[in-house]
Amino acid sequence: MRRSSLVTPLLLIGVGALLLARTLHPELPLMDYVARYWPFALIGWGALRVAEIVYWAAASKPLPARGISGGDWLVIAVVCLFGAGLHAARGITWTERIPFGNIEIFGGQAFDYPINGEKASSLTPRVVIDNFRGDVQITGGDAASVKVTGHKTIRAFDQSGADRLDRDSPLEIGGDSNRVVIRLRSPGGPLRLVSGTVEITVPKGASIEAQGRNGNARISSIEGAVNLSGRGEDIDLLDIGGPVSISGGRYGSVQFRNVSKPLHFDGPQAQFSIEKLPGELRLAPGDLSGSNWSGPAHVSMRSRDVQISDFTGSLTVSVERGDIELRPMRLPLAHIEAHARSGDIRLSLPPAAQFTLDASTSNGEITNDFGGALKLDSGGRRAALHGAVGNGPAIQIQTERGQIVVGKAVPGDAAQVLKKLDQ
Amino acid sequence: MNPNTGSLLSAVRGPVLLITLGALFAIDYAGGVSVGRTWPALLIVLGLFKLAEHVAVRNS
Repeated sequence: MRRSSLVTPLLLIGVGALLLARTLHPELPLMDYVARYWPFALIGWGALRVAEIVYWAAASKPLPARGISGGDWLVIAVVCLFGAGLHAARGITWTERIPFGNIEIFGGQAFDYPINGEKASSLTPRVVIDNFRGDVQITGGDAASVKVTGHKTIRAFDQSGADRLDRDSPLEIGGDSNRVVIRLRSPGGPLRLVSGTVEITVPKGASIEAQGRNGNARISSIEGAVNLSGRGEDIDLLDIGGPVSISGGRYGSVQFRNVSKPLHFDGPQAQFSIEKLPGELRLAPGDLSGSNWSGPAHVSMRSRDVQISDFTGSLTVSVERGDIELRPMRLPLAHIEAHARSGDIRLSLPPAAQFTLDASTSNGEITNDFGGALKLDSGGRRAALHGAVGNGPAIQIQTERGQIVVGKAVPGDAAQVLKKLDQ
Repeated sequence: MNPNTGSLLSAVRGPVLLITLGALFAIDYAGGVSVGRTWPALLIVLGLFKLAEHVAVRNS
């Protein structure tokens, strides 16, 4: 007689309970739970089968030839496809990430509610955005007040559920005139049922602090400091007069333009600090590019290409995997240091540049445009280029696997690089 | 080794693979390494079971 398993009836009971809960409490975000926790159904299924088989073996009962039948694997494949698809569509992780867009393919929809608020402040307040989920655009203005306009998006299965969540998620603008705290309460814990898209106008002398933020941030025309922490998506900072500090993880694309004080960025894959940024810096998933920097600047990347042009002051670049391209453009040069574990390094210097070079690759070739003043030593796979051109600062270049090019920048390079950045 | 060990290993192989599959997805969703990179672990588990079954058959 074929031994029957407990898994199938338990699976049916589980699915039935889930659907019953859905019909009795439509406002519950059950699909979010399913998207989040379905892998545990596989673990539970497997564990139950192991327990059954071990029990049968201990009781000296005949064992099935296969613990999971061909039909079961088919069901598992369907569960995996459905679960992974649902998870991807909802953009859910346990570590709090904003869902992408308002995609709702398994029921439920997005409801929008306007949010507005204003609070009088000093001309130099500290504006704290606390645990805000959604997109924020902050602009400095002349008024002595902090003004918030926009809308919040609530994910629910019907209007009444959305209305209830709307009442439970008021926009709060608290604190006093020197410290204004903006908070959008989000019931549902990590499920992120409520998110906002707001424009905040602050006095231009304000400083901005955002904690536990999720979503895109665009901040412009601020004379105070900007501190962002927590997880976020895209960041765009323009015309910032104070120091900028950004820490956290999972950033999408990041852009800085015209930052007058030191800029520090500390992400899981990229870290950099720049004394001043009159030009711009863009950090995309595959590369970091920038122009018109004032050093000292330090850049450390795990796996990205780095292109920096038109910089003054010292520069240190370290990349684990990726190519480095540096074009200082202006004279006199300052100390430059570039290190790649695996990647090519290209240095384009003004033809009249004076410097002392120490370049080496453990596995690759070196090309030199500066002639006999620089001495090439090569043997086996290694190559090194040493020497001095005039009397200038030290330039150290090293890659463990890759080519090195020390070239002369040709006129028009700057325009080409800037054009590339604009694209 | 017990002669039934081989059939026991053969019976639990599928469920253990299923547990591994669920664990890989759970690790992925928890912000760890993605399933796209950890899937070879399934082959390793399968290989270990095949090896253990082979040893069990030889010793029975």
